[in-house]
Amino acid sequence: MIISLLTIIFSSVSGIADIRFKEAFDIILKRLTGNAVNGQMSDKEIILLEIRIPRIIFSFLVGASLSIAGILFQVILKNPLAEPYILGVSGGSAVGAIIAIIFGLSYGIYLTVFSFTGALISVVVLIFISTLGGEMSASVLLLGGVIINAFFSAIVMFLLSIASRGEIQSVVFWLMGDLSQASYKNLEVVFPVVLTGTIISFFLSRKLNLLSLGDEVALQLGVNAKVYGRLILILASLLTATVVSMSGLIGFVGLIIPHIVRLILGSDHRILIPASFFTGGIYLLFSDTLARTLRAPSEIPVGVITAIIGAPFFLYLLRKGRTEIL
Amino acid sequence: MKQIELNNVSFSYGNGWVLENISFNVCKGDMAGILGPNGCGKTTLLRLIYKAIKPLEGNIRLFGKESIKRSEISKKIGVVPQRDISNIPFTVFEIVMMGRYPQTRGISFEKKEDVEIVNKIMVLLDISHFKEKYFNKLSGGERQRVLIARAIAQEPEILLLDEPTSHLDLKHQLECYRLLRKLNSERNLTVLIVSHDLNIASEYCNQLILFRNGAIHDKGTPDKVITNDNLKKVYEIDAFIDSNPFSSKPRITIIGNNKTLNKNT
Repeated sequence: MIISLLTIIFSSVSGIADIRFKEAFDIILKRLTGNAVNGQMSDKEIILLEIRIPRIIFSFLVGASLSIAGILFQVILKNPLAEPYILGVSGGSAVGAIIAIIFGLSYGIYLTVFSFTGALISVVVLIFISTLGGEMSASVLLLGGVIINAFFSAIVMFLLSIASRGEIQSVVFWLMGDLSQASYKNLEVVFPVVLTGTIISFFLSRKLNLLSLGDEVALQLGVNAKVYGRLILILASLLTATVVSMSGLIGFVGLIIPHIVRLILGSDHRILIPASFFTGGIYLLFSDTLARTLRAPSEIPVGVITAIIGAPFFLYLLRKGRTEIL
Repeated sequence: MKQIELNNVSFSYGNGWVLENISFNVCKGDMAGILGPNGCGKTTLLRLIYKAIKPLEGNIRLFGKESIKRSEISKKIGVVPQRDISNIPFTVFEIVMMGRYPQTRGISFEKKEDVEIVNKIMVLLDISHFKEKYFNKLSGGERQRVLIARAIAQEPEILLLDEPTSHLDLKHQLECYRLLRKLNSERNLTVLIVSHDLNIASEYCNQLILFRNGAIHDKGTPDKVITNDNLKKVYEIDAFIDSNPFSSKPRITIIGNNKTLNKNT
């Protein structure tokens, strides 16, 4: 928590516009104490309060949300390789969101609803595929994810081919994972969803422990696996869809973060969930700070950064874990 | 007192009966063995008893009640499954501790008593020296002992075990059955074991239920059930049966089989 505060402060002072630590501190302090001078805000104040602060909170929440969603999918599929991006769930919600954008429904609740529907469809298909041969196996699961991703990217291509030039530009940038759309308006949706989702997950954490041992075991120990399995599925899809609909495709966060936290603190969800919430938030905030400062004044999409870090990490896990994971 | 009662229970997964017209009772303090060849519905029977599935016909009464809450079942019935499929890395200690779940509520961490109970059980099952290891990296035999420990940590009134010793070496097999008998006599724990080891079952159980093609072929004391005729009909083997000189329970020596190879005895 302390680290996350420090990162927030760090990234609020790093950026294109040169704002010193002291100035930033003064501006925030002024706001908090309600002593803001009435009338015009200075440029720096506008940048910090209207652009940077919402973006910082937004990227923190997106990272946290993807991490929690990753954990939930891992419980549902009893496999630490599960992750919304790899499983094609992000792809599904992306298609939903793009459909909304192209048909001019990209405002307010519509985007989230479309995106959520897409996410849910891909999860259902995934579970259907992976349980065909009886037990869920990691290889079938990953293959299923690949197929779902391929299918959805075909649909994305199709939608792009019928879209207008202007739409293409915004869709493409969005597809690569883009946090620059952060605004207080977006936060109004993301903040409550992510926070509620995390709190519910936290309260379910003992059940998550049991469910990650298998549905039958959970049942033997008194957890109604069917009901809670569905609840967790909806929760995970909702967390994914809400952030994907506003930030685009940001991959591997839900894989890396829970894995690292497990290595350090263990698999107990009572610890894993809050710890991943903060670690995931910090990680994406850090990546986003990199994304907007590396090639300043232009930006690299943050999805590029997380994929460049994440994909090799995933391969490393696959290789290292051969006997234990697959 | 009857703890488990099955009355004319039948079950099917869709094509043909898996279990047909099963009736038997298990009383408090019984140590009962369920025997039968592979695929004769023994695991399904256990799932019916802990109410993971419902019988299509007939009824099952637990502790004298036909409808019973899931939370009550999990407090009173411990299950040792054949295997565990999860890939999420939990330590042995964490896995055994999950057996305490039904007895504790809320999301708070387990209390000191729970830790003590779990530590004690891990000593009993000879698993405490690897309690910090990851469960999914253990050998088959080590895993089985961990799963047994988890079920005992539930402090149940009934323990259901599905081939609990199939991966254990001789020493741990013996220790496992001794522990079950000890719990059975000291805490009056009711034990129901699915087993392929006829000799051990006849040695330790006071009641045997022999299945054949989803129906009960014979039930009763080991002396009544373990007979040449029964083994021939159910397992298609020829056996020589005498009595164990130490315990005077029936003892089986396999002579040969009359149809196919059979290594389950």
